[in-house]
Amino acid sequence: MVSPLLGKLLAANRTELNLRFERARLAEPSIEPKAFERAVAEWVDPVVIAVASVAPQDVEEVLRVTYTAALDVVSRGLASQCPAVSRVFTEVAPRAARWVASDPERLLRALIRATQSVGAFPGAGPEKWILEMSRLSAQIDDAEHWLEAGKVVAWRCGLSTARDSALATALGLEPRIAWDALSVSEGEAAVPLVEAVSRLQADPWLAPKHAAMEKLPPRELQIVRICGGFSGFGGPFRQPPTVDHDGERLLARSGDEQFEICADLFGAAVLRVTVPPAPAGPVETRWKLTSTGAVAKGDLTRVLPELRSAGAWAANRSTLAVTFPHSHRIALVAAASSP
Amino acid sequence: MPEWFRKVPEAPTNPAAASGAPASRAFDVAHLYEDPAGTSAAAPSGTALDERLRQAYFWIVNTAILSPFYDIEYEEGPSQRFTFGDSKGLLTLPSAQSYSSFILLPLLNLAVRRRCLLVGGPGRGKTASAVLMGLLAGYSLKEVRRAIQHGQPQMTVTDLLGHPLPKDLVSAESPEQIRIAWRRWLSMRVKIIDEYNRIPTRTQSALLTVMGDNYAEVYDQVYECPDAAWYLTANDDAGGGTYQVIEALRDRIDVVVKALHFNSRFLGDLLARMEAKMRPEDVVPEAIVFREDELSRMHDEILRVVVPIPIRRRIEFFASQFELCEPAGSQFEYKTKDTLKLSGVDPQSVASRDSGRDRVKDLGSQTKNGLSVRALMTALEFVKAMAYFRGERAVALEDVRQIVPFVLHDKLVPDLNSPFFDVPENEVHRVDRIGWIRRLLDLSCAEYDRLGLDREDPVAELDARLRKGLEGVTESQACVEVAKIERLLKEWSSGRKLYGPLFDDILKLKSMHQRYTNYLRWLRWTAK
Repeated sequence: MVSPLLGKLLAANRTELNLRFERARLAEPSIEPKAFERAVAEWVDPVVIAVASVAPQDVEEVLRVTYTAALDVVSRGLASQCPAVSRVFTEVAPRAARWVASDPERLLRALIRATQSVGAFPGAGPEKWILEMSRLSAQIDDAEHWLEAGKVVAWRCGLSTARDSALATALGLEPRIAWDALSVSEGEAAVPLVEAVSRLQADPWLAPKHAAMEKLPPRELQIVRICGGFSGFGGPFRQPPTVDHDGERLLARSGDEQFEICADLFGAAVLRVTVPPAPAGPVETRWKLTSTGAVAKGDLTRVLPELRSAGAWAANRSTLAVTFPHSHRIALVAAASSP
Repeated sequence: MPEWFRKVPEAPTNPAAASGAPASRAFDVAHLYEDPAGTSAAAPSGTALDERLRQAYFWIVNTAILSPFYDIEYEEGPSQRFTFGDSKGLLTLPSAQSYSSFILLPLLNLAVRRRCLLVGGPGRGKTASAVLMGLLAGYSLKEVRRAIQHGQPQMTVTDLLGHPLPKDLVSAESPEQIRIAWRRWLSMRVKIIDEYNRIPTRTQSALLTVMGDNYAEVYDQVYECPDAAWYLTANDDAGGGTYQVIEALRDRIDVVVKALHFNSRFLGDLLARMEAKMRPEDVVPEAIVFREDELSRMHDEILRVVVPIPIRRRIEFFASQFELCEPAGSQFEYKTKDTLKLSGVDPQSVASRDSGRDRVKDLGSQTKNGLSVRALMTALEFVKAMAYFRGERAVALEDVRQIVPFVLHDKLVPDLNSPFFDVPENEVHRVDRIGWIRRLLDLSCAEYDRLGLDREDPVAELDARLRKGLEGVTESQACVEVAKIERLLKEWSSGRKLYGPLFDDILKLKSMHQRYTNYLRWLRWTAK
């Protein structure tokens, strides 16, 4: 059973809503009526109730849009692929009811797509994104800025490929919102936002809170990430990979397949590359790795026993990627501060 | 008067339907706000509407109209079959609950508010059947009788629709000041036109406006009519009657039902009625009378009956058989019977050029026309109503097989020059149109099975992917789809004869190709 308000709205729009379901079912016969009834009760109801409390005049339109969005999510099985999608309806949209009321279609679509994108990215945390967006909805006054801040949050939740665009977006936001999206309280920021973003752009392993300090904390070489894995266990590689770089990007090869390693402080993913990468870049001379596991980058040196059995390595300006002869994993080494 | 005249058959009238849970419960948002017993989906008496519809059917069949003809046959396991006479006429004893089309189809027409033509010789119960439908819709016998429009050669437009007030005719200074005394029948939800083929042509045109567009017009005054179930009767549906029925009016008729002869073995029943002074229209039980809101809700429930995709595909395949006329156009889209018809060229002269195909096997060669959108929509609605009547929530192939012939009766025009009708066993289909259309459907399904389209249907697979939407589809994915479409067309273009279903599939692929092409253009533009 649903709330009396939703019950009343469903009864008033019964024929139209039922027809929408039937039409969706024509395209996707596997939609289970029971499952969709649950979705209406659990997802549509909270949004409708929240909107009714801030903009009762918009509630009927919001019902239609939310109902259609829920139908789309159920018919495409998005909630089973990424369970956090359901929390768009139960948590984020109700908290952002004042914006959902005025432009429900755009808001819901953006939130669902963003959750789905974060959820589809290997190792990223859509639940964290949902929590952060719920939190930010109380701090920000404008839907546009909120959605923009969402891009920065998505990067922090593990979407390492979105790093450049997220930092560019942060620069376009009000500093108060940008710091909030970067999870740095405005009081902690000892340098201007532009300066901090510039530091973050230069070093993928620098934390935003460190970038906001007047003086960067000391850093040491360490294994910052382990990525990759055997395809039989859900990883990307069928054979132990080799690594390379094209001057900017770190690349991996396994059999005939090529990959790009996208990694930073918040996430690491190995993504299949369909277009052949550019020719290998010049050998990175700043990095050194010996068979004893001694790593050096400029003035920084450290012995990392885990790297004694290293097979091959490649590096770009910030990261050293190391492979092992009998492993499908890649160790990433970088100069980073302690958390 | 014996009390059994008023007895309504006890529920469940179709135990299999009542006890067997539907394969998948139909979705209804009402489930979310109604109490678990779902009382508001049922009638005040607690009986569901589909059950009451069946009770109405069985009351009419058992008590009101003697129609011992079970020509809508359903099977549940094997049925006994016997042949009779030199022509080896086949008699089937259906193993499942079967129905009389003469009663059932007018009842379904009441539920879906369409237009039903009852044809047959005089005195066979056509008008009585229509009157009963008016009574089931809650009108009194007096109201129904007064509302029947009796076709006659002198019937004018104002006789049919209403008269201008004489005073206004004299004093009005402009047409809009002339008030019309609209006829009462226009406002009713059951409309009965008796012997419609005796109405003069000009009045038929006025009737067409009411039937087709739901409004009446006299002296620039317009009367908006409510949705209604129409019943028209005719002694001869083949264009006889006093006036030729205009084609547009015939085209508006959704379902044709034949009144069958009286079986003399039931004379005793007639005698009993006569002696008891029983007239069915006087004793319609209250329990099977439907209120206006109940009829509306029943219609909503019928629309929610699901047509499963495998059944829909068979209907599509059947419908695609008829429109192709290869020599009618140079551009692919215009290779249709409609192009030929609009040109005014003698169809025979063109058909003789249509060579290369097996004209006995080609189902399209049996008709002079294809199926209109209206005909297909009507067929789908009646097919759903049939499944609903049987207590099902999804359409079965047998529902399609039983109902479609009555819907397409006047819609598919047979080409009697087709060699199909020269085959001795098919000659009977020159006369029996219901049997012919059912045979067409059977042949179409056999061909569908032969092609194995339930197992492998590349067009349906491509279509299913496209229907998921282009949002998020990458350029390379779209290119893959385009390549698949082109590969399929290339494969089909080499050496295959062009039949109706292939013609529709090719045009479908072209439309999908166009969607992807436009999408790719847009994608490349946005990437710039």
